[in-house]
Amino acid sequence: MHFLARFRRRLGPYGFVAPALVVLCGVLLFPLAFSFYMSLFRFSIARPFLGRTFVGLDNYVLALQDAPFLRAIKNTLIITFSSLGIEMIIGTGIAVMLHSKIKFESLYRTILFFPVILSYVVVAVLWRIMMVAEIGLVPYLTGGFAPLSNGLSALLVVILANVWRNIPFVFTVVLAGLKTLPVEPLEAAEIDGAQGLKKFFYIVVPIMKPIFVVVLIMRTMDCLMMFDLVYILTNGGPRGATSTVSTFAVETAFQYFDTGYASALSFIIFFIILIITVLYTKVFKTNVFAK
Amino acid sequence: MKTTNRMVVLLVIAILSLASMTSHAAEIVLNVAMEAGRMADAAQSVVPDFEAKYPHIKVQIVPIPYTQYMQRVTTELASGSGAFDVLESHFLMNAQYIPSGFLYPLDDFIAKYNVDMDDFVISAVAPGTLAGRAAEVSPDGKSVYGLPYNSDVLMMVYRKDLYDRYGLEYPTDWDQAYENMKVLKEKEGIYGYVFSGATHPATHLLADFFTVALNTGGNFPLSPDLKPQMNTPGNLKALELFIKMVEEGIASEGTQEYLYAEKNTVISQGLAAHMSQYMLSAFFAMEDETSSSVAGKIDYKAVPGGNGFCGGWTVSVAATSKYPEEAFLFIEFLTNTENNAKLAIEFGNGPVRRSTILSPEFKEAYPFAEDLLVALDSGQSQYFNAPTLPIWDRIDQIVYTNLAEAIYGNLDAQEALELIDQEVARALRQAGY
Repeated sequence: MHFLARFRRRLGPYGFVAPALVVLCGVLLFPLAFSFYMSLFRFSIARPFLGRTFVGLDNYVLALQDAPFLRAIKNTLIITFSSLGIEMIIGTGIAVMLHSKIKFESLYRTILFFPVILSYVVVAVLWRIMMVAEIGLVPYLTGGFAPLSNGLSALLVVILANVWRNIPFVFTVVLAGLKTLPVEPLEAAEIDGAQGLKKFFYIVVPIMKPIFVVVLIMRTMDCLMMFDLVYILTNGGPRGATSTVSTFAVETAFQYFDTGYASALSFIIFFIILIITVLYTKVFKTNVFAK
Repeated sequence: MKTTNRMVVLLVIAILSLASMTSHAAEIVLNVAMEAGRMADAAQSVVPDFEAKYPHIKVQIVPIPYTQYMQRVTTELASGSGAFDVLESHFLMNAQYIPSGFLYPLDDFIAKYNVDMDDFVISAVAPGTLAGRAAEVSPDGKSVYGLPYNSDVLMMVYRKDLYDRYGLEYPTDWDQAYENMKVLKEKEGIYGYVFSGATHPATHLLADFFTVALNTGGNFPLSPDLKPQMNTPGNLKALELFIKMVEEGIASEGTQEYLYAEKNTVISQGLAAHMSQYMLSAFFAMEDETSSSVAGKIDYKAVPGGNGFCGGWTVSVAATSKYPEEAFLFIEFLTNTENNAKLAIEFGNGPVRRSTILSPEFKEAYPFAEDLLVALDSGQSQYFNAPTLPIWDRIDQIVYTNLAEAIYGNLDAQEALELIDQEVARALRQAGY
């Protein structure tokens, strides 16, 4: 009896989490493991008759020497960190402005929130219609300048479209954080003579650090995995100048059906995201899940 | 009494079973994968007539956007999910699907239902038979895996009103075409030519390039014995022409952004004077008075030099279909003489039957019908030289990437062609050829 009670006490909790673990293994770990297994082969799901050849880590070596893929990594990092920088500055600025009891706050909030309710597909189509050479609004207004025909300006357009779509998300979360700030430290700081920017950077920012970190992590994930915006807006063009790791991997997997190689690319992308996430939590020394 | 009750119960069960069997027979549902837009709409339009003719078969058209079409269909076929009974596909897809055993052979059904294959134009038949060589690679040694559904051949779409205004003659070669483009650029201030230069994806760039190259003495990237052969004087001449057009502003630098549909917009808005474009869809875009400013001012002819570049879509039965014969009945119905004419005239589907193109109704709807037939009969594609090669997607990628680099000034023309041959040779070696 004593043994049974101890057995139940020790193994009981495992029994409760077992179903969740089974589901987790089924939908997350198994595909991950299978994808890694596939990355060790050269084969194509569209050409099964060509067979499967074990190539070990060759696909990974090939990827790290593949100039278009390296360019896609560079583009992804540029898009991610430029977008994040702009979004955080403008988004926080808007949140502070809306928090400072201005007239028609809810009207501004509603108008400014609008872009985030649009899907990336719609955003991409709108921006493409505005930018496309000869027939877009921007080339018309600028006397023929075609932003999508030049690598640098096309990359800038992708960043701007991404920023435009996502600033509302940043300001909404930051505004929610501002509204829940405890008043005591702010009043104490005011009594001590802190005003304006000083109060913001020394009191508000440290208190809201977990919120900023959550926004940064979520937006970083989103940018690193960006696909539909780029795919529709520029299709990775002109000539690969705006291709991202996701568009490159999807193209490899589903246009060229190079399944083994595409699996290796996915793993490399996974590790890039993992490294950046770990770096964030180390740099900000914040456990966003802590009480 | 008890026996009577039992008899009644048994009778009811028998009737219900029979009814269930009958309703089961009436519940044959064919799922048909179609590219969203014109081709799916056209197929949908014949469904009521088909279901009226075969009441026990229901047809569900599944429209899939072009950008996701190949991905979705290939994944479903490779996984053996049986999601689709019928699908439309082009040459590149069939070159992979047929040797993979993804498609159901149609030879026996064609014989059983007396389908007149001779009425189909040759270039439209090619994708479904791998240009007559499917039996060499198909697992069952059969030779027909798709019926022609939509023909695609590039013709010259040009501003006839401007030709008349400046007394220009329709060109017989691309040198003369270039001179005409230059004149119209100078006199009207519009672009002489528009093409698709986008490289992601870029089969349209290949179509535009080879439409010129086939008429400047050029050739496709592979010989029938799989030797790379891009670096030829004819291809160089065509590539230099494209470079010159962009450098001199006869074609805009914006062409590097353009996919298929944007070419139509540039012409229909009166911003350019010529393009090579797939017919008949271009005709619909140009002559739609609600969106085109050049309706009635355009003429359509075989491209200068007369050698057309063709694409084309077939409809096939998936090997995993539980109802291959019913699926065949649908594709046969979709491509029969009556429906081929209806879809071409009402929807702008590329006609696949000679009898359709030569019919008075078609000629009335499309005054360039005879030129179209010539273009379709002479139509070629890069796949025809090596139709059973399953890695054409990789070869195409090498070709269009380097062509674009040269056209937009990052590579010398000669260097680009040499690079294509080297990279194609490497890709063939890697694939074991």
